[in-house]
Amino acid sequence: MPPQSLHHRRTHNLLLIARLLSLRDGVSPFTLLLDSLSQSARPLLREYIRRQQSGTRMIFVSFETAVAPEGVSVFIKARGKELVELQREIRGAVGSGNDNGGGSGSGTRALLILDNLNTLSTTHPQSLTLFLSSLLTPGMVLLGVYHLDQPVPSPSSSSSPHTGPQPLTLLRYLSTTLVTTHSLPHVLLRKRHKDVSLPPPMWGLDEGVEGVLVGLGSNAEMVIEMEYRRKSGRAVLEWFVIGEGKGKEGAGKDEVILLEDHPLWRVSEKVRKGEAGEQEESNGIDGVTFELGITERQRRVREGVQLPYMDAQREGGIGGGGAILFTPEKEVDDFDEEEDEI
Amino acid sequence: MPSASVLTPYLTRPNRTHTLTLLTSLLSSPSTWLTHSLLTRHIDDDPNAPILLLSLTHERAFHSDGLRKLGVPLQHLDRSGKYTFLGIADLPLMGGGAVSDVVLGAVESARAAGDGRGLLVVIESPDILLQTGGGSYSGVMDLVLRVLEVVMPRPASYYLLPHRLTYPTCRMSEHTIVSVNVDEALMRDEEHAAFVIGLGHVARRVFGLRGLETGVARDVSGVLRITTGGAEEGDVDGGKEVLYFVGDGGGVEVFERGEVRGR
Repeated sequence: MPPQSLHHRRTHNLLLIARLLSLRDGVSPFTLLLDSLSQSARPLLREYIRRQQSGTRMIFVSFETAVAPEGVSVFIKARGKELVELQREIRGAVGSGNDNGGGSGSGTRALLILDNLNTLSTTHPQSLTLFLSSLLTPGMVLLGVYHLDQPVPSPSSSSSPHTGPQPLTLLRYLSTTLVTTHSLPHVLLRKRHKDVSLPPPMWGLDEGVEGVLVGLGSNAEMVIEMEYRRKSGRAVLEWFVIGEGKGKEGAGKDEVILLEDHPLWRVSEKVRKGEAGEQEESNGIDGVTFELGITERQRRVREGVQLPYMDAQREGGIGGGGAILFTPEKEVDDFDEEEDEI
Repeated sequence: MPSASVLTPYLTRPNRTHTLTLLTSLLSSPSTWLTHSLLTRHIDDDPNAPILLLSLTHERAFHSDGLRKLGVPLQHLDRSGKYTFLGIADLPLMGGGAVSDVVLGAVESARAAGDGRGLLVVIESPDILLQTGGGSYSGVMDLVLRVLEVVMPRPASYYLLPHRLTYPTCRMSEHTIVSVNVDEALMRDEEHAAFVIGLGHVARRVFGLRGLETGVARDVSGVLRITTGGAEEGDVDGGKEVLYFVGDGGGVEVFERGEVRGR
């Protein structure tokens, strides 16, 4: 990948994440949030709900949430219900919104949140994708959470084993944006290990210690790994820190920055960043053992250098445009005038 | 009450309602002492709140003994009908959905006995239901989640919320404590793992008990790890690990690693 300037990437991707979080202009019809015990996607769901425009109808389909989050318009309890019934209820919730919406009809936007796709993957591995696609009508945006660490036990009742692809594989395929959540302390420690070529640390169940379920440093500040799939098929990958400055009074709670811009990430990144910056200025020519470009400091020093004969080169200067000036010196230029006469 | 200054801030009741606290234990590191500590703290905070204790591993007398040692006036609670105990003998384990009917019925009547005060439900080892055929993973998970929900008086199905959220006034926080076993052999079972991890995603706080990495010690029983669960909002910290020691008499000491203890 050609070195893209960080500044350009920052501007572009921050705009993109703002659009993705507010789900403006149908930018991503189906966003799949992948979380784990290390970092739950719930804070992210709250962020999504908070960022919606006021006219949006928010339908929360709960598989594991006991209390409706703030800002949700319709709260549907989905556990134990048949897919058909659930589908009808969701349709009803969307429909009633259109009736109340004041005649704008299909203009009403709706956000549908499913807080746990594992349950459906367990009970309906085959019809899950069909169910989700049926919900994706124009003006509807789908947000689904899948717990990566929660196994999906195959239903023991079915006599023939399910031979199709795993539900998660299908979900990944179907989604237009994939967001994986991480905890900031974990990301930083993993990076520190990588910098000194240590094996990456593990948390929670991966620690391999019997009795450990959740890792230390879990569910702290949230880092998200975004994969946005454009219509062209090209994917945009980026890491963000969400809710930076939450603790500070007055600071915007919704602040989203690139992971690379996080002060703690930059601590050990500074050295490498400097090198990359210089390489960028030398137009990225590889394979030379010396520096072709110059740094900003070198450039400034060069500007300041006083070159000799500058006065002479000035237009209308001492010599007046190219005339040769000659001032004989007594000692060196010892001319014998008599010789000339001979 | 254990002299647990380290633990005290983590025992306080959450200020939000309908929260789940998850305790994970191993066969070698049982969590009963922690359940009792949490219960005691809860009763200290609100002596009149109703309590439902559902235990699939212990008898009524076991818990009564343990709580009495911590100074809980259990007889008083029992007499006023604020304390309900359900043992494994009270559950129709052979039937399919009957277990949840019994449990949910008990939760309903316990809540009714509380005169509108917040109900605390403690469920000890519901994972046993998975092993005994009392239900599948989704069935038992459903039971726990419904206990979480029954606590709140709400119309069923779905409802339209008004612009400003106004909850039915319940000033006391309702709370559920679930303890499960996470022995490695059990976690290899997909259903069991799915259940435990699913609870972790719903919990606001996870207390994990395990043995000491360096082996058995005479004066340390094990390690207690306290971490934030998926459902916690607001005050988050990176988690904490402390050591604990359960004495012969059932008294518990909790201390930091490397702390010098007066003996």
